[in-house]
Amino acid sequence: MKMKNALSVVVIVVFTGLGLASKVNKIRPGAFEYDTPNENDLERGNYLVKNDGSKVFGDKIKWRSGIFVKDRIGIDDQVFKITEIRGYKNQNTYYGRLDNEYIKRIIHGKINVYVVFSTGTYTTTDGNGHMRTYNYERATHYAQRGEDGEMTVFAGQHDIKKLVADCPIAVQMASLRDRKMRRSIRKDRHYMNSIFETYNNDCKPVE
Amino acid sequence: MQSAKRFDILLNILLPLLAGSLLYSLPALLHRTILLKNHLADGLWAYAFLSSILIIWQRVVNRFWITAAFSTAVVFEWLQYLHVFPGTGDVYDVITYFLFFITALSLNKFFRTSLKPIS
Repeated sequence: MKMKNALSVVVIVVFTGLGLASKVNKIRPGAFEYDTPNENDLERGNYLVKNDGSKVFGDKIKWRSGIFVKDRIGIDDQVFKITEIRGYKNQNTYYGRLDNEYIKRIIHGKINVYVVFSTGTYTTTDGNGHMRTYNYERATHYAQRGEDGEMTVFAGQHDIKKLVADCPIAVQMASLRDRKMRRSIRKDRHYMNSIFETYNNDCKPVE
Repeated sequence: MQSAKRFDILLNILLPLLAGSLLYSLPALLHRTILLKNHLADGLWAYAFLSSILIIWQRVVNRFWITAAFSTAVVFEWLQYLHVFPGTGDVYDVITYFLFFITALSLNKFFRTSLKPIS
């Protein structure tokens, strides 16, 4: 009896852990418009942004990180530790630091939105033993309040509504039912972006 | 006896968990329907969860632990809603859990009798 009670507790703990480990990303790749110009600064050229907000201007930006290499980012011949540089702008696109990597910013403002794509493959075997390999792409979206706030994953409408909670228009835009939301995105490729852009525009619709 | 229990664990815990984790990890499959994408994986998790409790108690319904499982699902979703746990807590997820819990409970009698060792 005691053993069964103990096992039941273990099951609850383990399954809660499993539930926490498996978070479905309900935002599919392509839900946002990713290639729209969003950087509204007037500074031309490429630059790195240090943690204190100062900029180092230059031309060619290179960075690398990994287990066997030092995490470094450089612009022309100036090299910095990745931990010292919070982001960089390269050809009108800004990339923000997430751990030891840089990911693309797609919306800039009070709430910044970033995206990182990953790909994978899976293989199926049919009844005749024929194997087929499929590729898939996954997009993970991050939100950041302010220029140096923490990046947090958002994975669905509920998360978006929480992010824009103090802007009723944006909340309303994010509250469409699944089918209506899909239709809105099909009609306007910029629809998801405009939720955050409305929020960033002091909660006024963006023309 | 042991092999019947092993089969029960395989069929009602490991298989749903495996199927659920495939749904999580193969997003290309998930584009088919919203139902699949959002709820089936959660439901399989719930089914395996309640089956585990039932199997521990030799498929005799233990009201305390069954209630605890239902409560865990509600609290889990509530904490997601409050953003204490990561995720998107909503009432449809709770309904999904309950439907799959009820499915596990409904099949309990069947598995109790059909997986009983022949004496």
